[in-house]
Amino acid sequence: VWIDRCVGRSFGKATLNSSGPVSGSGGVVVTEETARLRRAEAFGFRMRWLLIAASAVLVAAFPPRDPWPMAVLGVVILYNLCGWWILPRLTTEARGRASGLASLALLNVFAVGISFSYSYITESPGWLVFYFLPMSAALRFGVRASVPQALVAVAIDGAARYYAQGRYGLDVDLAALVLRGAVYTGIAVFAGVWAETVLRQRRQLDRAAAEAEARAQRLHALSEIQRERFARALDPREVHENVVQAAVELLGADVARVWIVERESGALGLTAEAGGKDVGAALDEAAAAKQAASAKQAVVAEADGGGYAAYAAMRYEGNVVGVLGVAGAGERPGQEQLDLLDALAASGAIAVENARLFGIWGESQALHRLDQLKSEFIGTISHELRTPLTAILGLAEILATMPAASPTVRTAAGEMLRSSEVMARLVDDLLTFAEFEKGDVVVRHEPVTVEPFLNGAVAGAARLPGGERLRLEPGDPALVASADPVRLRQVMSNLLANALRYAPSGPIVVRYMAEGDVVRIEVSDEGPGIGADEQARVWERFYRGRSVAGIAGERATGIGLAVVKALVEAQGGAVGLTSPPAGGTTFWLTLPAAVPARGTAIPAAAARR
Amino acid sequence: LSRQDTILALMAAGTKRILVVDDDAAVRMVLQLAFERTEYALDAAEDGESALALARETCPDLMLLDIGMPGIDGLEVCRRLKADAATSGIKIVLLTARVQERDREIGLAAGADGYLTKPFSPKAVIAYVDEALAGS
Repeated sequence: VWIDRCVGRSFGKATLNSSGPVSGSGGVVVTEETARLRRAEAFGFRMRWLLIAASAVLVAAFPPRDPWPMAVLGVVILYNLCGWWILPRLTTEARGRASGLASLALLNVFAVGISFSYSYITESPGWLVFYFLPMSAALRFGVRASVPQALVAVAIDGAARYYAQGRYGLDVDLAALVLRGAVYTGIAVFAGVWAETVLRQRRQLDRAAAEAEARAQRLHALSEIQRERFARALDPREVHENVVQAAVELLGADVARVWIVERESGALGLTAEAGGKDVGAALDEAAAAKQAASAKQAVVAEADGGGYAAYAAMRYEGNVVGVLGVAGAGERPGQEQLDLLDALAASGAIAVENARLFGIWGESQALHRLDQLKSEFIGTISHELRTPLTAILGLAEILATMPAASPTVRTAAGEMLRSSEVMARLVDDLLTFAEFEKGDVVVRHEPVTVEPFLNGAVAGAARLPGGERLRLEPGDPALVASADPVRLRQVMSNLLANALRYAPSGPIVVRYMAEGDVVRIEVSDEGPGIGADEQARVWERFYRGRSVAGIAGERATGIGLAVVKALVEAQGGAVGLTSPPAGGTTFWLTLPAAVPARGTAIPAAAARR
Repeated sequence: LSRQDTILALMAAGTKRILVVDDDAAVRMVLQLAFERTEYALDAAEDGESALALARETCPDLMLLDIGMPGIDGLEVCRRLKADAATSGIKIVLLTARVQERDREIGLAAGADGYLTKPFSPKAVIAYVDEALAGS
């Protein structure tokens, strides 16, 4: 019992002492086999001390009649001395195995010595060594070792009994011998199974701890990479380089590559490579494309000439932005390595997408700045054109009306005046356009009596070529709109000039009327009309109608109607046109009425005003 | 005749005097030609400094004042004249290439009585001046 308890305790200690299969500092994972050998070695050392102690107790309690015990003790001491000298000079593996085998061999030698020395006592405690033998074998080498060791124990036991029969005339009880053998084996099998169960659990725990630590280290490394390299880089090229560098370092791969999906074509393009060692399993673009298209998780392929290649799709919000591939000459990576590759690909995808969006943002900033500059430029040009235009327009008008001037001069000055008025309108449009582009347009709202206003606008445009075709149809003279007179003048002169220009003949009629809460103004011509497909587009800036091309010598800026629309809408109105296929176009605009339009006003609305 | 005598003679005859201020000679010429055939007497200055001096000396009935000029700009001329009791009675019409609504607000806030934009029709300017001086 005492020996069994000692064995149990020493076994427990041995396993406890070897509990750290992972050495903490370097992150090196000690293999399971090495850990097992270390445990065996520790067990062997403890067993030796146990044997020395047991020998001393037996010699003191039962003085032997023969010199056997002294010889046994001598062997044990010699063995230990040799062990102390030899064992440190062996490798861990050899040491563990040698130590385990030597311990068992020594136990057998010890059993032979004890049983022969004390064979004169039929029921000597020395016989206990035979229970101990198969149990030691089972603990050290597993359950399967216990049966052969039990047979050896029975053989030694039997030999000692026959030796005692010859020397001391003691009887040999064969049945008892067999029974004892069965008991040795039974105890050994029980101990072996117990030890193996405990060892297995222990190993599982050790393995789990090792895995957890390794995973924690990898995650730490991954988060470091994300923080240090991915989050800080905003240049796409730099990000791609960082991803492949990280893959090589973190996964221990020989080579890593990143393919990025081109936005327009959807094709993969190799953008970065690291490692660059020529390995058997070359990373292959076709395989990467396949991975990008299908698998949810990293896939690994073994190369013909040894080595591996693994691919993981880089996904961002469900979209594949690229593929990360690694290859190495070594063993095929385990699931954990593949998970890590997936994690790296996922965080790489975020970094890649970030960099791309940053680039787009920068481009749009630059475009926006350019657009602003353009608007400012147009505004400045418009302003700078006004002063020289003042002189031309003013002098032309003075010359055209100067009584002293010859008719030729007056005619020429009249033409000059018309041209400079057109130019003045274009300059106004340019400035208005720039204002709308910059978004800082300000319109006034004041009552504008429609009839005199339109009379003035028509009179102004009447000086243009063909201006005699303009006619204002009489309407309600008391109709008042809420508008900005300067802006509305600009709108009307654009509409009238357009009508004169694109309707080469026929009257151009201006009408106005109340329509519920709004004032509606129409400009109708009998020109060729505007095709249905073009009707929406004529309001777009820089759009020049097809009919423009047909009119010789016409140069349209393409901003006139865009300015009209923007100005009317800024005044709280709307614009539109109707152009039946038969020809003729009516441009219309609405403005808020300043007082309720007579006859059509709703009483409640009248009361409100 | 000295300038002072001319002014006195004009005032006695009831002739309204207008001071044109513009750094652009062509614009001054347009206005001078335009007002030649009217009953107004026209004087001209080409910058803010001389405009201030001339306005204080001759105290015209109305000024057609450009804004964008080197040195003292039209807005500053307007503010100074309106701040001085001796010259605050002069009607000031800003005549400028600054056509945006914001500029008009700034001009009127500086104390101007009217705001006209370039390019202009000389006839329209004369009509505007007629209207502005009709009451006085």
